[in-house]
Amino acid sequence: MPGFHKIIPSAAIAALVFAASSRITGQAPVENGRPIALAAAEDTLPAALDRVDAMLTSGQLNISQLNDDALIPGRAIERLAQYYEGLPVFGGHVVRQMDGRAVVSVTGRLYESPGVDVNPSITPERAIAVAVATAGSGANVRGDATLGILAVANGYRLVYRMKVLSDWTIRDLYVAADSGEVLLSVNGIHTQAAVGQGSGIFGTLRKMSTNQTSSTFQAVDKLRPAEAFTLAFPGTPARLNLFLQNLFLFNSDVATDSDNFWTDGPTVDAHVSQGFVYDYYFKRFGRHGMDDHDIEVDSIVHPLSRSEANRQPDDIVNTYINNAFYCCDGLIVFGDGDGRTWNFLAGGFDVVAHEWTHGITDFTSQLIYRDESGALNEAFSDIMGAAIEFYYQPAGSGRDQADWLIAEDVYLAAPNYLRSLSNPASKGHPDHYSLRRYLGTDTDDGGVHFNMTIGTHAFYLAVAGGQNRVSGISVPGIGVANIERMERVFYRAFTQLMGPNSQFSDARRATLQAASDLYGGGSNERAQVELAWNAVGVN
Amino acid sequence: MERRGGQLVRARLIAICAITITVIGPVSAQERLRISANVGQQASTTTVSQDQSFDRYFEQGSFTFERTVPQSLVYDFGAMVRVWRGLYAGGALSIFDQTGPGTVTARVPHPLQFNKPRTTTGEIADTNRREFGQHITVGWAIPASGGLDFILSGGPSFFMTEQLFVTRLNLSLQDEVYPFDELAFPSTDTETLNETVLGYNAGVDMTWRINKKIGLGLLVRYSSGKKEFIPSGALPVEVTAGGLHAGGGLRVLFNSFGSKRKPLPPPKPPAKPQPAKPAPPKPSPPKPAPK
Repeated sequence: MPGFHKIIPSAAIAALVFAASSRITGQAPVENGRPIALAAAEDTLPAALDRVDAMLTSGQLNISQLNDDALIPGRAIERLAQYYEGLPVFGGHVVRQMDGRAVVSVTGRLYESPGVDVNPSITPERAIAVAVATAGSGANVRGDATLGILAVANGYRLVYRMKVLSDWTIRDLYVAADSGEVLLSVNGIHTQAAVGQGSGIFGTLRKMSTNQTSSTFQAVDKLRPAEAFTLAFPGTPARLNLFLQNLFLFNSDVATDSDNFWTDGPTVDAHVSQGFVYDYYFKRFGRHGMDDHDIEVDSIVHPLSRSEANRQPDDIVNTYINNAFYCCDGLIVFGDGDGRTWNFLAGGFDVVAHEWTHGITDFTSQLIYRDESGALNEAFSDIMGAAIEFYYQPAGSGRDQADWLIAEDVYLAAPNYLRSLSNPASKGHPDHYSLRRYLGTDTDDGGVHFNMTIGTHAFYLAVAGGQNRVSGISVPGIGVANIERMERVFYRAFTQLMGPNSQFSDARRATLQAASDLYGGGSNERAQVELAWNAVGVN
Repeated sequence: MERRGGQLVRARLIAICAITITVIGPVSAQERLRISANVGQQASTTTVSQDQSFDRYFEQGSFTFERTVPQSLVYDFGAMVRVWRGLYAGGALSIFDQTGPGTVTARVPHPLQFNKPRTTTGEIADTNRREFGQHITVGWAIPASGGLDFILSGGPSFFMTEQLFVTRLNLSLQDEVYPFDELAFPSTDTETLNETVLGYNAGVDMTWRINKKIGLGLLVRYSSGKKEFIPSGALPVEVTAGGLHAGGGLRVLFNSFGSKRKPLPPPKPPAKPQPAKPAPPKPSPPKPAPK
């Protein structure tokens, strides 16, 4: 039976900036709070370390994670969470890269001393009641409400954070601990937003890792270190809402087949592809699953049947039918597609890799799913989605061939792909930082699926090279044959050197630091990364 | 399928024999029976190559078992009888027994991916090859000066051949290790088959007589035969027996076939002239009367 222990995705707003690079960094743009700059490089690292050490000593920083660095033997990655008066400061986070006892770099964002009263006026129960009332039908709170500090416009507030499950949605709500006001609601479903329609899935024969019982075969992968379950829902609104309200999964949900020759395409593709993604991260980076501790992965197919596409409102169709999303705690959902714009989304290998990578982000940098950090969250998923195709497939433009397009195998509407890393503008997405939109709005959680292409295009330029359409800057790139080297740079930056509130400028610094770590400060890889970010206007 | 080695050596030996035959004159050998015992080397190598396919994880896998039988000692015992002038007929037994490692190279399908076979190689230690060759020979003796002679011979051969084969790889998913891109060499099932292989032989035997009864000799014989062996549940494997043998040893020469045949009677000495009968004694004259 799939275990299901949900974690609450990190959600906070950036205020202060600690950035580590080879130079003193400028202040990264943030929407809220009061940013301060801190550099952490060869010459300026001691000052940054002094500050971090002082905060550690005073209890303003606590070590939340300490992991060995799988990419560079002997090094370790230490994650420090910010606290104020014993309460977590949501989003305050620093990453220290250690080489033995020496600190190599410090990256992340912290908040200046919030200076708020830490005594709540309302009880957690009252905050939960507010959240449930706000969330609507079927709402309930999973886990406890966590008291902490949230940076908001012009200051900080004492809030309760909680994950609210309800009909059709999962959200992280921040309720003010003094007034009971809902200050922030962050989408808990990390989606690959899409609207469309499609037909059946392909007949590609694939091997499945299954589990044999006395009477049947189950879509349970027990061959890989991380168990993986593929669950075939009946496609009814009732079952989906029961799940969304409490995240319960039952043994009866596990996909089965009597003769081990599986005929349900989405089940096969979801089950097999998620296994391949696990393999990729294991072989490429030595990573053990989403959380690096072989957390169980649960993939749900048929959350709502295609036939529901004509009965449900657009937002439901666009979330549970024409969509795939990573929820939390190793859970991924693949929509059936309406058969017109989208085919079964589990059939897109890069789609599966994209959602799976959200899980890694969830357990590492915890990039907040809003605005620039949310766009970086999405960008990393697309970057790895494309990279995984190149790992398994020959380069080309047909089905089962590696390319720089996202969802090209299952997106049916012209031009038959969802996004492009090589030419974002072909789908109206920005290929330059100056073209970013929707930040600070509720549209697409601040444009997470829109602005992401600024980052993915930078990755593309660093690998394949090319000239940016807007800046005119040409980047030689390291060559597609060397894509692995750039994968390592971005993987290291996004999983080890960035924090929840990272902005594009932080991504630039983190990738430069990663390139220096892996290949040296004077390496071609670092030079290409720098050129690529210059080309897309991120400085 | 089988490959042969030692062609160059073989060609040189044939050339040497041809030259030898050319420069010496046809002189009849003298003995009726010669028995030879040789110790030598199987100068050519032989490779037994077995290809086998099998189904695994919804794909076809395969393995190749290769056993290169190296140059090794061979023992040879023979006897030839002169049946007419320089024409000899006889037989020989050769014994070749070599145990050594065989190599199995397997391509085993990946349990989770199509078209991603893993290659694994392992050794099977005691892979034996035993040949008991029976060679029937007809030869022609070509004497040379200095007590040397050569017998060029040829004829059919029968090889009682014993060979080990691999019948299956013992693969188990439980024994495999994630991420399954490499495979430890699994255990194997083997089978030893005995077959009689029909072939031929051709060679030259050089004998240098120390005296009338004993000599030293060199033997160069090429023999070969092929047959398909069929291991249980496996595809037929063509096995070549024999090879180029080169060795030397003792020669025992008999001018007759020994005690079972009566020795020829010694030639009658030429008849001596009969001594003339003594003339009858003349009658003695009458004695004179006494006076």
